[in-house]
Amino acid sequence: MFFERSSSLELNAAPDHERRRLVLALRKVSHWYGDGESRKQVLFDMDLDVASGEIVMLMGPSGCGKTTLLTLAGALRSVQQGSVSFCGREMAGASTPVQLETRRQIGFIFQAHNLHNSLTAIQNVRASLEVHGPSELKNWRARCEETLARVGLADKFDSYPEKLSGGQKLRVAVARALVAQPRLVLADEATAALDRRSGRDVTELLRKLAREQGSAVLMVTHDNRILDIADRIVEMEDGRILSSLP
Amino acid sequence: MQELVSVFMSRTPLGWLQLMHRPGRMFVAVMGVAFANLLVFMQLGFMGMVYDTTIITHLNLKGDIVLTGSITRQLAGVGTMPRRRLIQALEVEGVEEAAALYYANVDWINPYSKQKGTFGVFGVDPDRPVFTNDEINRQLWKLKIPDTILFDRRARGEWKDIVRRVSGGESVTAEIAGRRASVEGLFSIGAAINSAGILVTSDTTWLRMNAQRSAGTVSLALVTVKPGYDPEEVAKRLSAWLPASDTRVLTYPAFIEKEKSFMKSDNTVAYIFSFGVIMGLAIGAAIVYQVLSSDVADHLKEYATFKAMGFTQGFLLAIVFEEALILAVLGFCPSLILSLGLYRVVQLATALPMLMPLDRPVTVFALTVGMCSLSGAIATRRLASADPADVF
Repeated sequence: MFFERSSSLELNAAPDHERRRLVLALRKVSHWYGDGESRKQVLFDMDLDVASGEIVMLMGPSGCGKTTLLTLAGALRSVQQGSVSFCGREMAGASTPVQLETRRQIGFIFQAHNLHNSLTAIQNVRASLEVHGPSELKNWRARCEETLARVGLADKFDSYPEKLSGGQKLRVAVARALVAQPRLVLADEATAALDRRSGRDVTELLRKLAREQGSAVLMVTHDNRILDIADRIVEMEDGRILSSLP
Repeated sequence: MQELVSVFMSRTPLGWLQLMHRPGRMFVAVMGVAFANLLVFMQLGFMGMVYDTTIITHLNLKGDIVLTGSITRQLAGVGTMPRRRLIQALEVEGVEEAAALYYANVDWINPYSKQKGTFGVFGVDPDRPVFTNDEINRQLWKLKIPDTILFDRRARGEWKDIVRRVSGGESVTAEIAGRRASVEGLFSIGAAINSAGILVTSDTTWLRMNAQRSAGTVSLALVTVKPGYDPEEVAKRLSAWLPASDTRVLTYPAFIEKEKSFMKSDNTVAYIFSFGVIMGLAIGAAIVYQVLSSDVADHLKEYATFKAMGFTQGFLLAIVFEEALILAVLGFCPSLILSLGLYRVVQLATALPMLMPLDRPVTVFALTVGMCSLSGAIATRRLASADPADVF
């Protein structure tokens, strides 16, 4: 089956008040690449919390482990040591169906947008609903059109990605990440290729929509020009958190 | 089940969309499948032609039961039976009539073009119409004159001058098996693989042409059953009555089946053409694999993205198999039409029947789907390298 649903996974099941507010909680997370002699540690006892409605920016030099952290948060990589909790559900040792179900609750925005070039803008956005199964596809057109309109692409529903500018592609990616109203949005250097103005516009849009939906955003960026949009800035170096500024 | 249907209905037809996004590449793939299918159709066509032509002559014989020599393996092969078995057969209850038939292959030379051809010659009693072909039966009286023959106007090769002269009322004299014979009439049967056509003559003339054969040994006998009798039952009585050491009794359908199975079992025909079929399928599989695997490679990033979004491996496999099936269907249709045309061309060139039985397109389509699915399955191995952890 395309959609392996796991009925035991009820996302709001966490009992205590504190956990319900926390979308993402990392505790003592360490990670290594390679085996044996060449084994290299990239994350050291990391702690990180992201609450719903919050927009957190993650900064740091290349190779400091930001992307590894993002893939662990997005259930794209198995947790080696420590605890990654998504809406109260533990990801350490989670099975593949649990990982898949978790990913469906997350919106991803990639540096290269990764839109499918054989699909139109609206078809790309629709995929985010399709992954949840047929029941989510009722009214799909209205939902996708509304989301695309809100990112300013009301006239580009049926355009293929190759006909769109970099900023427009990013907007489609934002719409795709948000249409299913995910608990968490993970973004990686999404604005890197854009000019100052478009980068800011899209990031502000992302914050606005995320706030309205109550989604949390964890964003890796090198872009100093957009830092003021963040609720919190986390600085990393060599696999450790240096500072966490409000 | 209902859920499955609704999943299917709501699914984005990604395979189709991806193929349509690259029409050039899709065209090449479809042509590849069509070409492979065409090869398969032609090989099966030739194989069917060999089988069909083995019984083309036999289908012109009229009878409910056929008696052959016990060692006779096929009509054109060696094997005879004593003529007195026909008279004995008449004693069996239910037998109306038994007609003797002499058959051999002879060389004959076209007196005008000097072209040589091997023909199957029937020697029959001119007073007994043993053919289903009425055109022959109506002209049997002409054979009462010694050294006259009837000629197959659908024979393979350049015999037009003979046909033209005979149908114009002219008498044509030619040399057959060392004797001079005149062509006095025409009929239509057609060529087989090992003979250019058929000649019909009287038993007397036939025995003169084949001097080494005696009147007492016939090639086969055609038995007619009295009305109201079941040929199966009569055949059983006949085989109990006639000695199995020199005579074999077959109902007409069994006789046809035996001739067919001789070709199928005792021959390399099936092996040769099956080999061709496999070659065709291998070519098709290679082309489809090439197209599908480069398509997978082109979309690795998108597929990894889909995995990151929470799509399962099964969703990705479905895309590749969808593409494989689309290529199978789109390639099959033109190949069916083209092969019907080529069958016609071959038929005209060889004077042999090249027919498309209804089950053949079904078989070839099933083979095509199998071939494309196999290529798809191999191409999906590259999906494993779509790692969602690499998309960031």
